[in-house]
Amino acid sequence: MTTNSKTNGFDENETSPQEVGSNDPISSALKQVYDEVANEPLPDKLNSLLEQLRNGDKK
Amino acid sequence: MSLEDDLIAQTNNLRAFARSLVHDQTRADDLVQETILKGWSNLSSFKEGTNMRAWLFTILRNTFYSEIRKHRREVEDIDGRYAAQVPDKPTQHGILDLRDFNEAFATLPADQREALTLVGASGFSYEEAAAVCGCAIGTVKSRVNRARARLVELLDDDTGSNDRSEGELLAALGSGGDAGRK
Repeated sequence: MTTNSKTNGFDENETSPQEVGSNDPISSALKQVYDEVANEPLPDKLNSLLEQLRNGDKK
Repeated sequence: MSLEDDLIAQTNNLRAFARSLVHDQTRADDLVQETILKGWSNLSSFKEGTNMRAWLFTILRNTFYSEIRKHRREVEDIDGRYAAQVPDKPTQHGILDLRDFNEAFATLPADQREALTLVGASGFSYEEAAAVCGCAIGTVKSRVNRARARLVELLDDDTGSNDRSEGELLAALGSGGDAGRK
């Protein structure tokens, strides 16, 4: 198992650092690249996996 | 929402984070698949009410670095395949050319790419990013600052050699903070 227990206990609503603004070109490009991938349709392989998990096949 | 649903809902974010680490799309999706399976089989160790995304990102990151240790040459993007996959988009006022950006981003060390992605794109606080990376908050800040300075430097150089008539990139970079400017 490779989880990090320190991850637990964070406030999910904590805001992002102010220093990394959203208005400068680097931040904008970074978010655009990230969002493009995050908004892509999932590939068949992952859809199939998620479907199996939802159906309880792998639990 | 059940924990299972919460985990599944993070798949798209996991893909975006994975692609910042592993530029090859197939490998990135393999990493996501492995992360989901590990998360799913270890859901009982997740503390309800805490940050599922941070928990999964930590699993993904640890899996990524385990792969690097095993197959360093295969995981690193030594041939620039990631940059080649990025669609070319025209430069607009105040917006970086995404191909230029990705080419520059791909040259950053993995620890800087992940810090910048976590803080600058995934919406994590420095504290959360530090926990995901297993390092001090100051280390994350340092990596983010170095990454941004290096990107400015690379994109500044690129603009100079590209002879863009508008000079927009230089102006745009100037508006976003001068860290690392020459």
